[in-house]
Amino acid sequence: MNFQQSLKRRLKSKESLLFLITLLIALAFFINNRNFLRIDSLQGIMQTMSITGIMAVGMSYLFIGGGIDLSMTFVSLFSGVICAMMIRSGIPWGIAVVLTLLIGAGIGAINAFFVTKIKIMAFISTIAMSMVLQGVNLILTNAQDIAVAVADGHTFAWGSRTIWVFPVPFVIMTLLIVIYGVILTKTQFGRNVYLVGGNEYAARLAGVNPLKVRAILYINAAFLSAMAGIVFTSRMRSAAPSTAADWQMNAITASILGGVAFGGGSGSMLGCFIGIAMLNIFNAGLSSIALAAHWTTMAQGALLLIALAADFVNERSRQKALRVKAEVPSKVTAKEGA
Amino acid sequence: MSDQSQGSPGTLQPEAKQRQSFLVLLIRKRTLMMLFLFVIIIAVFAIRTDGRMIDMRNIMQILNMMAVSTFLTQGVALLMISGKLDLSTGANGTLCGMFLAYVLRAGVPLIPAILMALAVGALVGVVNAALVNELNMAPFIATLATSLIATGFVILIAQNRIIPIRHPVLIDYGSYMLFRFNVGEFSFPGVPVSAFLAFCFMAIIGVLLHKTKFGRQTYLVGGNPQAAMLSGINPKKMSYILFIICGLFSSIAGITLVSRLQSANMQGLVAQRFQGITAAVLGGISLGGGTGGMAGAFVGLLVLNTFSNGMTVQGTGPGWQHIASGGLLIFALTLEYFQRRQNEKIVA
Repeated sequence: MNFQQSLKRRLKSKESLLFLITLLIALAFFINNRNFLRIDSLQGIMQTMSITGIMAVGMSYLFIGGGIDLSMTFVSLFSGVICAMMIRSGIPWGIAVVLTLLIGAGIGAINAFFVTKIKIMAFISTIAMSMVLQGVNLILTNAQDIAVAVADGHTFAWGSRTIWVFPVPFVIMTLLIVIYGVILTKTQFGRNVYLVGGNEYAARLAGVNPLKVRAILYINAAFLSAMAGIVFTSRMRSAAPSTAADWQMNAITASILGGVAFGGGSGSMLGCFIGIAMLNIFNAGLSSIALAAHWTTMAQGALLLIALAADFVNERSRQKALRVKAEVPSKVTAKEGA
Repeated sequence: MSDQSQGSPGTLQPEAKQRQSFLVLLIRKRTLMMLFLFVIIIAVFAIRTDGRMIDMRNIMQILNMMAVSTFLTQGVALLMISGKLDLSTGANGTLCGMFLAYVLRAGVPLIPAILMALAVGALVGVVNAALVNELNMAPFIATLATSLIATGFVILIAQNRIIPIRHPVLIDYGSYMLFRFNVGEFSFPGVPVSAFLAFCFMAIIGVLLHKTKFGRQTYLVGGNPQAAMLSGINPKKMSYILFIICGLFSSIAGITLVSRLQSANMQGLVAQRFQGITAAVLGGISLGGGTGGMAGAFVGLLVLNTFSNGMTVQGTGPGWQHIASGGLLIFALTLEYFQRRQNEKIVA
């Protein structure tokens, strides 16, 4: 009985609807092009989605906690460059990876300082940070790609290997989503994140320091961006100073598509995962029917707008539901009083 | 706001007034501080480049660069005063310039072509306003999304090619110098038409902001939306108007750029997309709305443009230029923090 109820609730939830839409999108492209669901093309989709997916985890956490980070793309590019340079200079790759992750977290700490201490609006201070990092990248690399681990046998080339049929980056992303999902739902810190994003005032009254929670989220976001950068470097066996693909925009779109509220306070890692999958299947589908680049850019913008509109509708219905719930008891008491 | 608190010394005790150091004055008078910074920048770069920085030809170069960024700044500054924001100005301007070049090449006469380009800019403004007002999206994310779509259209029109502009009027607009004269040895190369036009527009907007009902309403909507609503202003209507104005100015910036380059390319204004916001924030227009003015924004523009030009003349690489422009933005925003704290101290 209990199991049935929970199953029913699961089926009615936002996530299952999103999953259905994702399947429909995949099916539509499959009908158009029978090669779309072949194992190697699926592996390609998994490879691509893992970079933005790792970032989307950090971005979703930030959204749930009421923040945003627009420096993610350049944090990850910068981390990739740093990691590649360290490995080239002869440092063992394990140590290089750890150091890079620490540097990423350090950049996150700077972001957190400007947002929580100086109280600059998050999006503009992180844009400024991304401008600075863009410059640093150009100086470090002389606007050239940095090749690393060119030989196939090199251990750092794990990014292009597969475990059974799953590419290693995809496995890393899935593990991260599971771990962060558990943290979000089962721990005190996870609940604090929801509380801070949903109602900062209430959080303060409940003894949670919103600034501290948010600072941790910014550090975490940059940390995950650094990880995405390392994975990218390992997969491509080279680090690039800049990219044409707007990773953080994809991460934002994926998070909001996955039902993470832009204004904070709601969302889940499962939704985030489905959002990433949906976005990447959509993108892969667009390129499988050989659409030119401009349509892809436009479709991306349109998808973000649709996601935001859905977020708005969702939020309004939630507010309405809350209002109805708040009104009912007062009516009851009024009757009792009469 | 800072100007108001400056203008009411009655709230300060005489001793407190004496203790006001020069530094505090500088922090509170943002425009003054920026002018001070401007002079320092000019002096430093003039020395470092052996005077090449303040040579007449280079000043013309700065003015030419400023024309585009002035147009970009005006619209954003107005929006920021009303508490909103537009990150799509760069993409919008690029699209309008590209569209103008495309339509001209297709054989449309000049006036309708320019009107069409302006209409595209206004349309982007309407879309932005609709997303922000009707669907309650945060301005920065909604305009980021529209800038993606606008960029898509740019790629669609350009197809990776550069579209040349051959219309004589536009080429004149991009290169003609006003007030050119020679007095004996001294020759004054003149002011670019586009820069002159941009500064005129800025002055007009400044007067509009300070002398008309529309301007006061803009400040009120930005400073206190609730009070604005209660005093009978329709914030939605205001925001539609301001977003459309911002779109129009982005469009003019794009047209100015393609006239100066005599061609439209896909990069367009992408490099300058945050210039408007940086200049406005430097000049004391806070992101929260309700403060600052056009004079401040103009000084912010001066600082920004002389700084980037100085670095180019000096031969600084693009890497350091990115770092410096990011650093300048962070600096401006941090200044705002100190100013806010100072104001809070005075109130307390």
